[in-house]
Amino acid sequence: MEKELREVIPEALIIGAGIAGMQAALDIADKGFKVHLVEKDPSVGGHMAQLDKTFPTLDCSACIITPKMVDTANHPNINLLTYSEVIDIKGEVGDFRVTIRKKPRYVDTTKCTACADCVAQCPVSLPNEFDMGLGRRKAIYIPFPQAVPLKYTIDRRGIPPCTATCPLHCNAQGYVALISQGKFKEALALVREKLPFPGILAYVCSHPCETECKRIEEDRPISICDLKRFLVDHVEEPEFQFAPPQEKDRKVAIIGSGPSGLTAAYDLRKMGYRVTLFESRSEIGGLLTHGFPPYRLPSKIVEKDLSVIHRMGIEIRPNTEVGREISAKALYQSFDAIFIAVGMAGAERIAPIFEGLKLTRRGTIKVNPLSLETGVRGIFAGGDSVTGPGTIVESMAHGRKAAISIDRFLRGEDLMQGRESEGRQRSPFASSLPDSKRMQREALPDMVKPLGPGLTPEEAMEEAKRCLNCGGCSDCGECARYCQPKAIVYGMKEETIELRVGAIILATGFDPFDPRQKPEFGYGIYPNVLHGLELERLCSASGPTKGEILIQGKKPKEVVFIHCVGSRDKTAGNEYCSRVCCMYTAKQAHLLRDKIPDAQITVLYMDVRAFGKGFEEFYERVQRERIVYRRGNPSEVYRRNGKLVVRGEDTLLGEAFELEADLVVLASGLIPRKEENFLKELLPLEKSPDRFYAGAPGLDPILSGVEGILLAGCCQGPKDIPDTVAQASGAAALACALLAKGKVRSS
Amino acid sequence: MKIGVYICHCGINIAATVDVERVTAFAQSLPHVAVARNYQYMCSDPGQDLIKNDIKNLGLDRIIVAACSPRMHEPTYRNAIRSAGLNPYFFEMANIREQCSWVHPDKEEGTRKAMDLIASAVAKVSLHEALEENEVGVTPSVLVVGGGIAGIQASLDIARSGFEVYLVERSPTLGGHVAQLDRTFPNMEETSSFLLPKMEEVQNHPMIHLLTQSEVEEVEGFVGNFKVRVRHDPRYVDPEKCTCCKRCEEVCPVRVPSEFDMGLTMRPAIYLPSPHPIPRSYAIDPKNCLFLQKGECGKCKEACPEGAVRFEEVGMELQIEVGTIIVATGYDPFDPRLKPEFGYGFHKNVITALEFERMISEGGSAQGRIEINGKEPKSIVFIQCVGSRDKTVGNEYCSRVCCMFTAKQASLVIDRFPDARVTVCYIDIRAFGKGYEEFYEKVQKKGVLYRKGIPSEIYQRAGKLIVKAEDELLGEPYEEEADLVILATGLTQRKDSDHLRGLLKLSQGPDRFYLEAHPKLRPLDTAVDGVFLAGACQGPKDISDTLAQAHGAASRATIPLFAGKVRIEPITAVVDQLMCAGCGLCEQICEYRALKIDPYRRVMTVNEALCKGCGACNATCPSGAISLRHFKTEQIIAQIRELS
Repeated sequence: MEKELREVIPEALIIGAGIAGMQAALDIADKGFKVHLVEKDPSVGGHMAQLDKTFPTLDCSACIITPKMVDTANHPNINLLTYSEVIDIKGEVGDFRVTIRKKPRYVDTTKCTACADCVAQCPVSLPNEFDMGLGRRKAIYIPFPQAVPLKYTIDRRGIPPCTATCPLHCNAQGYVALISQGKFKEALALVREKLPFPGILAYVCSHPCETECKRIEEDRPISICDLKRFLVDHVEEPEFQFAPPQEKDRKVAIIGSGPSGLTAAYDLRKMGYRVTLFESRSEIGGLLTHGFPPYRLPSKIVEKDLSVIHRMGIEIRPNTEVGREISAKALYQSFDAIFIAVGMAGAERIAPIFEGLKLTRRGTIKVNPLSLETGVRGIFAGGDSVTGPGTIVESMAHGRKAAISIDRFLRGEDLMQGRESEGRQRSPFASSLPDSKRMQREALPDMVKPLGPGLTPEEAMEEAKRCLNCGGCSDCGECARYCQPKAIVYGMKEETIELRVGAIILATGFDPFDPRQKPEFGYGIYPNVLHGLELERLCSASGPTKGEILIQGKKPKEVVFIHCVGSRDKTAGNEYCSRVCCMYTAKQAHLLRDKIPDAQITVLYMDVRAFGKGFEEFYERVQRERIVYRRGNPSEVYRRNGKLVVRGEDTLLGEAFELEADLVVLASGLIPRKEENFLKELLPLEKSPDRFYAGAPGLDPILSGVEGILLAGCCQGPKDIPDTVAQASGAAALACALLAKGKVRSS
Repeated sequence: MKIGVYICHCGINIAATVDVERVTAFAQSLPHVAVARNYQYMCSDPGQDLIKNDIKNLGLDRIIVAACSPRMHEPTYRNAIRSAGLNPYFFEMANIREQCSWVHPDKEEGTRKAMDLIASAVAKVSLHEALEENEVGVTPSVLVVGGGIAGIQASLDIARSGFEVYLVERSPTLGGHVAQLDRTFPNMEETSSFLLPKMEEVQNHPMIHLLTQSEVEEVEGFVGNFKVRVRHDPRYVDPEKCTCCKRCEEVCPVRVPSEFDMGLTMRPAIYLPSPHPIPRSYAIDPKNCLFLQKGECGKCKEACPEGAVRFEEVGMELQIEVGTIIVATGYDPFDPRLKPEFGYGFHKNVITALEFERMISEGGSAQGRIEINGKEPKSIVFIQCVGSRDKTVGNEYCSRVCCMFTAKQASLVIDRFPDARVTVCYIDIRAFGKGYEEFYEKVQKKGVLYRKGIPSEIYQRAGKLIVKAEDELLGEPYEEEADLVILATGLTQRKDSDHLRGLLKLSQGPDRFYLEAHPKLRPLDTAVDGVFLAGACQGPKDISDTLAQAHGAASRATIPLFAGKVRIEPITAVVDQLMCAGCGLCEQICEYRALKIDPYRRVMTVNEALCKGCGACNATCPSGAISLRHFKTEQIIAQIRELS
């Protein structure tokens, strides 16, 4: 078949904005072609931005990379798409169609001034990925001070298990986070957003949130309910004021004033409806007023919570039993909708009063579970009269559900649509701990036992600080309150961008090898076993210790470096050499010598691969700095009398040795990115046995084997910065040759 | 005059040792200062916006940023100022980080020094003048020096981008050292399989002017506009006519050692420079040709059926104009005679790795057969790091390729002689590239014995070579009888590299290889604008890394060509022609040949495109006729006065 001559779209796509992607982008952009540079993280810079100094010249990595980062962001021909991911690639050389997902930052980058006012207010502290988890950051963050673009991002991962499982979706992570910062008033206000009667739920909630709390995997769940009780007991609130946004003339009758009826009344009144509560007893509250011993649910708490009902202008008809004091017919005549919440015992009595109301075999009222509508239009039922004996919070959730249904009913809207998200949900972060373990660690609610004295403010903050912040951002709203330029946009949605480009450069980089796969070195067990990238952050002046080498608060005196962790190691599945570890170890050994002049520093190696320009000379220099190189990788690291012991064999002396150490640094190798699998699905790219992109047959490392797709940097195989930069420029040359050509034959 | 002063916290880099609030208040009190502000990161977008907004709203006409070194962010701020409509040279940076906060632990001292530096910057910026940046056009072609794999690849990339290339190669054929190799590691591909198609494409590409037997003699000009004089030596054979029929070769009475075969074979004076030369033609070696030397012989001319031999051919000089230059001159193998303990040159059966390549290559000296005294070798010893990692010969560096070419050669040997004892003596095995470790592993599995420890000497006993060494792992000395010893000779800078270095004003590192502009971020650029490096002339590297670098150099070298223009810094020397005595001292001192005396008026003139603004002439001029824009005497004096 004759090959067709097609126009080349004179634009390029680069995936990954580490040093390779930036260099390639700048080279192409400088030649006058448009470049779309996609980076999954909020900032450009990649791994190089994390490094302290670079070997062998010891330039400060951040200082040499930041001008490149700024140039990349400011270049008129570069369309920088940070916090974005390529989700689809179609087409072929000369005309690739690319779909990009731009993740929401929840911060309007045109307004954010990076003033950091939000950071001071954000109550959520998370491990800082940029510092390899050695430091912490807030949920609203910039990855590092020189980030480009210098705009904040809110790390919103999804609904946490506690909030998801709460039938009322009370933002537990949010108020726990606020308590941890001593922001008690704000915390209670957040509780009130979802709970009309926080006092009652603070005392007698069955707290399913605690059952789901992920902290249970480590020790025991956060005492969420106690924290709520602390708020109710300690925070002085201003007098409850109520004015509905808009008075509506439709009327709703609510039969029964237990948790379910009260919640429905509260919600409907808030929407502006005229609500009448029918209660057969002399006072409202149902089970809440007489179902609990006062030492378990003090009456002043109930009174305070229920006073709200009185203040809202809800009509209360005590001593009014429907069917006796007032007929169903009368209700039909005076009200536009009816909610029946008469409790388990009332169900059988009330059913015959309303024609058409059906009972289940269990003696509860039959309703549509999504809308709580009974068989009779306009009549809804909920609470225990529908579910049988349930918890208070679930009853309240029913009240809320009924209120939503009634509102929709009165407005003539569909009752069913989009209601799956109400009530208890499962969070993506939910723990998979087996029930047997769970039972041991969880404090089950006991509604009869007297309550203890409650938490002090200090205890509350301490307890709240245990929260793992599963959802990232806790949606507490503090940043938005304090952001002066009003840059916070919680409702921001992800965007999809479609592009057409002539050439694609992959510059997706690497992942560091996870040394947990080599359990003999004790990484993850002993806190003073670190890997190379972690030590970089410790050495860095902008790192978590501001460049001080502190291991459990002390300067280490005996340091052992171990080469080839996860490289040249078939047991770890990586037969290849990672190419940079020998030299970064030499550099780190030098930096430690500089920072701790009297430390004993030993490097354990197989072969020292100091092959690049100035490398051998640097290796020589490091050896002269009283850093002992011993040939032979150790067999294990263990602890003896509080010290680490590295056991190995010196293959030159033919002798076994044991070295004591208070810091062991693992020169972990470079492995292909995990998330690259999706690219593999999109692109027919070959991978070599080392799982990096293979390149075409032959020795040219830039060619991917697919015309129009080029490789740069570590996605093709481990390499150091100069080799990466050279390759990136090379990929740019090939891309530009294609873009400049104008026409190409389709394959 | 309205000056704005902006003080950067640089996170805590500055703010921790300099009281930025005090400094701001101080700056506010300086003459002409209309506004002084401080900000966490002035280089960030919001920081730059502060300046831009103040220029627009307050009408500032001079800007000071007190932050890091101007090397870091001066271009950033100049761009910001330019975009706000102010001349970017009405700007000065006060370096209160590298020169202040980073070196003064004491906050009081640091704060006072920051104030002094700012006051001095204010004094200088008050005297600044608006400078205009000029642009010059770019000749859309590139000179590539060296026709090895690096030069070939770079030329192809540039030509494919649509620009003209002058590829200058000294020898009569393209191909360089790679053409001498049998196979590549680790994929054991025949080198000709990828090299030949590339060489042919170079020859056939309409945008590439291939100049073999040519050398760069002179370079003038500057980025965008280089003028290069190239000497082209005669080939004495017309490549258009030559059909490589071999008849000339058969009649030539001369036999000299073949350079291509590392002297292992003899060649005539009219010869094929390699088995597959490009241009595909014979060449006459004038030094050894009897006709050209003595006017005798001429048999080849008689034998040539095509009339391709032309003794009358003369050399010529070409003037070419190019926008940029790529240097890809490659390397020389280390001469193992400098390591006499290995007996190279004494013992016939001690050879270098490149000699071995020629031995085993098809078309090489032994036509692929390896025979020692007519017999198959039973014991072969490879010695690594000959001339590398060795301060005794002045080469501290690692040659980066020898571990792997040795592994490859050992593999070839053991494949051919499965019963032979093949030993590799090494220091460290540096199998770092893609698939290298796996290859090394495979070679060991084939039965090649790796022993750590470089031999101390090789001597002959009873007609046999004895390699004496210590096995460092066993801690034992040993002696190994060897039929053949192969020295993994390292890569060194070309012996004549100084010539080109001088012409182009390149720098060299302590390893004598050409020096890149920045070891990390500009590994392909040189300190000379418009001159780039590719391949082993910058340092030893394997084919894969060389290809990456060659592609990369092509990218760098075509940027000015695609842009069509280069910007010229206005900070240059200016000559006051009334004061200039025409003494010419400055011309001698100028490193960049930017100064030329006007022979008619006897005054100095400045080529602003060449001038780097280094100020050397300025300091040299005895009559004070030369000044440097942006660093005028009164500006510097004002600056110093504030500091004293």
